Amino acid sequence: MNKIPYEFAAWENTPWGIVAIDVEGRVCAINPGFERNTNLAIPSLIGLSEADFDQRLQGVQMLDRSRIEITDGSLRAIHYVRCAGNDGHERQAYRFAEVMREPLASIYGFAEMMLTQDYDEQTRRELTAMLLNQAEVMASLLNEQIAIRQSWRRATDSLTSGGE
Amino acid sequence: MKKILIVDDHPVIRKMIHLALRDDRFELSEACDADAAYQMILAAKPDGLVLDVMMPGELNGYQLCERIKQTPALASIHVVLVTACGQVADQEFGRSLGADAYFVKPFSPVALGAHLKSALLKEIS
Repeated sequence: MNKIPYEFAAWENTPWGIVAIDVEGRVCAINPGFERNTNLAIPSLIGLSEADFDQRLQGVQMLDRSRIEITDGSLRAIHYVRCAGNDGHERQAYRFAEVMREPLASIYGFAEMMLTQDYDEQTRRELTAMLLNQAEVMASLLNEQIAIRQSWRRATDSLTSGGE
Repeated sequence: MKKILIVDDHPVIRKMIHLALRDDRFELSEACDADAAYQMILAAKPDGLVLDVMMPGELNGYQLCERIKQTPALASIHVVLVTACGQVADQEFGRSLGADAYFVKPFSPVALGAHLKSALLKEIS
């Protein structure tokens, strides 16, 4: 599936396990969260019929599970699952930390170099501009993360209230 | 002159490392992913490699490190992994692949420069 960056980030990082069923009724896509939640290996599920997929899920202890019918013709359904004891939150925190470490590395590094090295005025200006730019990148990443979490909170609330 | 290849998909990080390693005794070059880096390594074997781990493309930094260390003609390249993967298990994995050093972002570019000067220039410093 082609996904734009924020869709990809949501697909990869959500604590929910998500499984897409194609119009033929077979499992066609599974996100990493599904494997983390259920400990079922993705390759063993791709291509299964929806009935066989349901069979494989029997015995998996779930906190929550939903199936949403898709009516636009692109897919048949999306399954959402959430299990107890998965370390999704911890993994999410690590992933987020990895993303934040990139601009933080620039800010830390350029600041240290400006403090310890002698640069001409032009270079100092360039480094200062990069510091500001990377601070803005960090702010954007934080805002994006908050937006993703708010979106998932709304989706979760909608699912747990029966899609009202 | 020691050749160092800087590999990172973030141009700002490449620029920072480039600036930190600026030295008359180093010849610096850059690549934005591991696949391009591998071709550059085959064309002109560097003495040192500053290698990010998570990059787009067929190869990530771990895989490139492993490939270099398993190739006898390239194994002497001093590989420094510079990465946002900060867990102890990540560092252990990097070292198990043969990485000579592991810097976790955010890191001190001054310390990185000192490390490479010590590792690559010790015989002439």
